[in-house]
Amino acid sequence: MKDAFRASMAWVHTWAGLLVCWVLLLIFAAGTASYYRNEITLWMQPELHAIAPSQDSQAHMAERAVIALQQRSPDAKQWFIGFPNERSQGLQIFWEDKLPPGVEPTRERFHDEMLNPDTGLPLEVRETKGGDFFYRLHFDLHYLPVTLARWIVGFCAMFMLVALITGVIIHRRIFKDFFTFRPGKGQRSWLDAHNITGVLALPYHLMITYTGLMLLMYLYMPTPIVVAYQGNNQAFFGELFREEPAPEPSGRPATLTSIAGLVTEAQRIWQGAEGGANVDHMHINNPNDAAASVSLDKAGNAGLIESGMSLTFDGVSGKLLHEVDAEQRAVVQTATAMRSLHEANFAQPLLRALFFISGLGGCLMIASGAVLWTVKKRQAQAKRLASGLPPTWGLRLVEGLNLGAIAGLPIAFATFFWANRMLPMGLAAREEWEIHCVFIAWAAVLLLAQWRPGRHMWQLMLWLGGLMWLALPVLNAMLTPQSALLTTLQHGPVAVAGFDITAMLLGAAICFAAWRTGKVRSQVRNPQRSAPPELAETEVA
Amino acid sequence: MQVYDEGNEVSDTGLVPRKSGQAQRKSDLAARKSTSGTSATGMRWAVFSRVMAAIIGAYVLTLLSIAVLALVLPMSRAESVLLSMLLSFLIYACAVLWVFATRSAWRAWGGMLLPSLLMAAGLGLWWSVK
Repeated sequence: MKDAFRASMAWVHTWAGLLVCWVLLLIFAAGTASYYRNEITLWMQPELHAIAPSQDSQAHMAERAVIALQQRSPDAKQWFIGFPNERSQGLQIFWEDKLPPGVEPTRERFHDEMLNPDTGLPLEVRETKGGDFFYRLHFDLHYLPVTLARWIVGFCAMFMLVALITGVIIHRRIFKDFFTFRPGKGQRSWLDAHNITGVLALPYHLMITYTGLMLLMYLYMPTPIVVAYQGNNQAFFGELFREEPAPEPSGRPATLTSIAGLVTEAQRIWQGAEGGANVDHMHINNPNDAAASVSLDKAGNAGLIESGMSLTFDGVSGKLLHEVDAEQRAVVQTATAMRSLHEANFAQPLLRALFFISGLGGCLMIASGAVLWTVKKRQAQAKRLASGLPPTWGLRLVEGLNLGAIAGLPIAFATFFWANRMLPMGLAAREEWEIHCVFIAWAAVLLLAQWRPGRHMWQLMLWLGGLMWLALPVLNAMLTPQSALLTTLQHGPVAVAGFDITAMLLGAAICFAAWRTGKVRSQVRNPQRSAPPELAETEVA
Repeated sequence: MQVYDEGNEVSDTGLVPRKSGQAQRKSDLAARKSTSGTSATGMRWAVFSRVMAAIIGAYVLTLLSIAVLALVLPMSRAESVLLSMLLSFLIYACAVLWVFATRSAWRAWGGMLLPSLLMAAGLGLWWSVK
């Protein structure tokens, strides 16, 4: 009875995993990269590398931001000012156009810009999405309508959750397997690699999958809002975040109160609060209108739970309208803690690095699981293959997809950074082209993989990907000498040096995988296996 | 269907082979060539039906149970809505596992639809009273 249960769980594990593994690998790889979203953005904007962090007060910065916003869009629906922090040194401004009634809102209505916090002048940087590309790719994919993409991602994540739970169930020796790795033994090695990468970071995998689903649960699980709020999401979020709805614009012009004064006032009110008194970001609704309002959100989370503290002022009189104190509700604290866990917002450098490594472990787990399937199928088809027949179409398809996804992703991601340095500065839609390059490169690998999904192609693609990563610091040093590793190691920014070093480590690991792929082939001439047994040790994306 | 047990043994078992030995042997879809077409087709349908019960049936069950939860949890409105949504994926995952663990596809559907109907009726009643 128990065996039957375990057997059916194994069936579910295999098929739930296989069906979505390639998309999951993309989601995991993009999510892992997103831990260093700001650092990636900084690396991709070498123009900023020489700028020192600003020492000026937030009030002065707010003043400069408001001057810039007044020039760009005095009658916007809302303005946003994001202050520099440890991981991002620019002063961010953002505005949303007011749309005439009846006009369908699109993303075109949003605009953003980075300012020098000390001068308020726009930072002259190359057009790039930077780390935001990976962040969006992680849950919005690309080239797809956002809602559709999020449903696809949610579907895959739910499969992942089921695969994780069934994976635990079918593991009798979960503790022993922790310490078991038998390299160079074909299928066993693959199974061990899958087990080690899966079990070692299992709490992370479960946490990241569940909290990831949670982030979009309003989309996937809407019924509670339907019954309790008649489907009015805004009403729910208003109550949840204790927000007052932003007032409608009155249409009567009015002079905006001193925004710098409000920043100073907020810092005075938050004096002595946990995590400091600084402002993280602020919204100005209906600027230059009699119904203007300004809300400021406090920066500095003491830990997992975001403070959630905010202040709302009248935008004309400067009177305090609404104050939100630190969050006390247990359920909301749980939800924000889960969100923080997923986004690692709270994580200090070492913990962030551990998250990153666990994410890579997740990529390895998915990749080794996918390869394990083909290794087993080849064994099941051994007679057929020995008699000279080709593998079944299903096996061939999966082998091609595995090659294209596992060896292709490192190439595709590296292409993003190559394009960033090599595309001409004045190119129209430059930031879009950086992304097109990623998908062109990936599509090429996927096609090649379907054409010849054999060991040679694995080797070729792994060498290509590995060398592309290894050469990134060289490319960086050649095309943007002021950001070369030797310079950044001495004078900073540390994040840029860290990027170069990580790129080299990843490249070396992929090259090692490519080298092992060739070596195993010359050692064991076993026609039953076409996939490289050692890949999972080092595969990265 | 090859399943790994004990970390390395390759054994040959099928999906949900409790019913009979024959079902056990015919249960794998991809790897096995079946000897008799009709019962293989039957098994295929049974597996397909179960997969649908897991994806759609369990989803409906989840949506309804969290709707009920949101109404009955003894917290503020926002908190009970939030908590029921937080629990939704746990409920979904458990329901999916049960669908594959239970004896037959019929039972799987029954297990999804009966409570769903009860909860839907309850919600309808609540709606009309409100």
